Amino acid sequence: MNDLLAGSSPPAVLLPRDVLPLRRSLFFGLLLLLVGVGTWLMLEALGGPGFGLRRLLILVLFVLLFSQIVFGWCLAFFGFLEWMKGGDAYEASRLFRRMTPPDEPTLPATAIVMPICDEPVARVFSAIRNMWRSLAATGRSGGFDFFVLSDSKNPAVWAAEEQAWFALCKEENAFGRIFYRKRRLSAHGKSGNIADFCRRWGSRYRYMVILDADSVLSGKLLTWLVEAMEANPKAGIIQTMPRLVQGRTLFRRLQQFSASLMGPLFAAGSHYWHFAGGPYWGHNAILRLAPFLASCALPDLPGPGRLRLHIMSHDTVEAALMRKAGYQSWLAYAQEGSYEEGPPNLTESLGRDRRWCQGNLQHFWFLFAPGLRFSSRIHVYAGLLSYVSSPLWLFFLGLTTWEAYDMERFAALGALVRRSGSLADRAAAELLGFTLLLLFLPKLFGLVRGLSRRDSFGGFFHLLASAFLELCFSALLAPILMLFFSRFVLLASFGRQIPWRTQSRTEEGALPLGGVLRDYGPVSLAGGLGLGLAAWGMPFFFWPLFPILFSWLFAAPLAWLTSGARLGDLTRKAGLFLTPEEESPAPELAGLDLREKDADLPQLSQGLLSLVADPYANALHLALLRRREARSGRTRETLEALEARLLLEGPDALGPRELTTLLSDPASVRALHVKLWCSPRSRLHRFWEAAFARPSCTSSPGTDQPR
Amino acid sequence: MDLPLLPLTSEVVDSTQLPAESLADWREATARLDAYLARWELADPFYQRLIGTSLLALAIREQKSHPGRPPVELTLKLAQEKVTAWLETLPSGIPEAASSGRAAVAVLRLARIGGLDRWPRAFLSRETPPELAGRLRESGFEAGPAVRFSHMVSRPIDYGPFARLAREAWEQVGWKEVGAILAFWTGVFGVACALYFLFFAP
Repeated sequence: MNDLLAGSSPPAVLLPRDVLPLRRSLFFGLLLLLVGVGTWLMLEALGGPGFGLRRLLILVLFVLLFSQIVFGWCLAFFGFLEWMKGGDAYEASRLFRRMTPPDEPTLPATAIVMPICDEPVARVFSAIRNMWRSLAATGRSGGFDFFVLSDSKNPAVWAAEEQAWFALCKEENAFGRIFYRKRRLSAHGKSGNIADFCRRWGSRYRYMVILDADSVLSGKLLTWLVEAMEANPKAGIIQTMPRLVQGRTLFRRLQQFSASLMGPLFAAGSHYWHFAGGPYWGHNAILRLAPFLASCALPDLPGPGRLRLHIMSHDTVEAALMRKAGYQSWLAYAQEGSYEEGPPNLTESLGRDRRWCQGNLQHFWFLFAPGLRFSSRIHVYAGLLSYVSSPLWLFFLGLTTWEAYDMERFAALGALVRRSGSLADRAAAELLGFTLLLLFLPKLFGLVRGLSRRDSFGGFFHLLASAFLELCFSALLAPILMLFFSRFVLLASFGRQIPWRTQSRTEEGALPLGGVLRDYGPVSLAGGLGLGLAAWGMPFFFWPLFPILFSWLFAAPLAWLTSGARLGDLTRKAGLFLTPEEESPAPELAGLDLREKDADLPQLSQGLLSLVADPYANALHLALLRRREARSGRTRETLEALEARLLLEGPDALGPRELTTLLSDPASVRALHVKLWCSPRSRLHRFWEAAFARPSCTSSPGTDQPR
Repeated sequence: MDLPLLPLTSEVVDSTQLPAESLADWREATARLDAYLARWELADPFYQRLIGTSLLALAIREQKSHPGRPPVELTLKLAQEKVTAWLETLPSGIPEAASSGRAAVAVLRLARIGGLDRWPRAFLSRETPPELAGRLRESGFEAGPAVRFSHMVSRPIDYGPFARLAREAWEQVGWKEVGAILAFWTGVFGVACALYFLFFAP
């Protein structure tokens, strides 16, 4: 590690200034044209007697929502065009040429940072090991240091993390290169954890690669990222395009198939118009630390007192601030070697969306902040609309149903001439066809692209079948998401705070039926009632409403069926939803799918047991606890009482906070070790009995002892 | 090994003279001591057994001066004291650290270089083999690089007209005013409803 902040800069990469305005005018011109066509058709379709407030609302909502559909279509269309041309000439990997000699063993100092919070320990450290080995294989790992930044609240996870870290360092001889830090106070979640790292060690490194707990980057990609940053001194962020991998449940396999088929097209289309104003997703990306430190500390949101909130979704804001500071943000979508995992089931996916929803709604304030770049505002707007559009769709559906009901009522009363075959009817049919075309063409683009490498997707027929089934799944899922997102937006608007909890990544077993009925039962009930009501009261509007109401009815079975690994495994055996990453997995992913067998739970209890009983683990914990001031007499008494309870009644007798307090005090940690060994069995809870068996008998397969 | 094994052997043999009711406790102490020493994973089981026997013998002797103390407590306390004292004699490179901190770092250095795998007979020995001492001095233990603090503070940001409007609204209108406005309009609405139902309702 050396201080390279003051190094000499290479010349800036010549950016295609003339190409960007042309591309943007093409992209947004086509978008406006298509929105215009849709709006005209809508006006025609609404062309009844009078144009009241309801119709005006319908029209305004339509323009807003239709523009979102067209935006998605434009992304896929321009991405498809670029793919047909053989790739974008201005994609980051083609634009940034190598500046450092290929045999240069040491690249500039780069910190690879993985913030974690109560994550599966074996998975986290296996990923670090794979990345470390992959980097070593490039022969250019010299400048890279790894940091595992823990905010874990579960004391057993904390203990297991320490032991796994030490074992990994010993195994790979990586002391002084792989570091571990546990924060005492986990203020401001992940962004606070990263900011804490930056304040302590940021000035030692030129670049920082940010990972999620489920991220994996290949050594080749890591070295390329640093080289690309070196080649372009104005690049502040280079975001890679993570491929979804390791899915076993049907839900995850569907998501990763869809992302693999369509994701690259959308990314290429996105890059088409934003170039150096690309998105940043908060992980699997490299950042230039000097401008990040100087300009990207997150500001508070406006509002008095308790409403002065901290920003939850930091990535978009950080990218906007980086752009504001004059640096670029690139999306290197064509580079291979970036991986992450998706949520295992619909419930976890919705939990993540609820957090993202609140975070994206907070970005509202940045829409109007002076000094932000155009591309940053578009990213903020698109992120905002991805959730706000749901309640707006719901509202739009309500208004159009009301409109249709009134039309039919007036027609029935003879106040209105029935319009069958009229201009308005034709326009409505054309609008429906046009919308469906815009919705399904991106899928077709993805399928065409997939067919060009069909062997990686399981072959021609398997790919066709998978694409068709994925289409059915997404058509069923969209109305369910609309309902849930509407609820999230409403809850967030009323100020309901959401804790940033850890996403469950386990894939063992389907969701419990009781939980599924609790979460999705009301939606299914609403779907069933809606279908009944539509059939009885509005038969003329039954079929337009049917796709939405049917998917609501199907919400509970869909969530349950797709949550289990069994159906996922069956589809894999049948050759469905295969992805190139599944067909030929990268060596960096080797062994990461074994963590279910490792069973983290035994490892966690083993971690706590070792911390108290094992002299090595106890010493490791003591060494990692930074020096503390001696506790006052009264505090000491309280801690001693907790120590006694832990030994006599076992870990379950103490709450996580009590246990954390105890394990944060060096004197208590030492005392627990001494007391455990000196106490007769009669004065110990049976949890500790395993400590007195031979170590080889107590350690589980996934357990790493620090020796 | 510097524990007085041979002179104590006769005392260990004399343990048969221990009161019969304490024998179960001594058996538990022996098993516990074995488990404790096993945790150190010495590469030489024979040496480990010798250490165990010596420590047990010492504990039996100690018990004569502390007859009330349970054998488990007596034996393991003794063993841990011996171990801590031994660890503190190992080269640690952090003389200013507290005793427990120094011992902890010594344990980690031992673990890092596999000290007791390669030099099992150094355990509890007064003499540290020079090669082991050299390796211990060379091996560092750091959970993170030296801290070099940077200044990273958020700058206030202008959020534009909407934020200004919202801020001014919050700053200029208190809850009292909001309450008064709500009460006023509730009153107006109530009067309007009353008038309608009294005079205009069909």
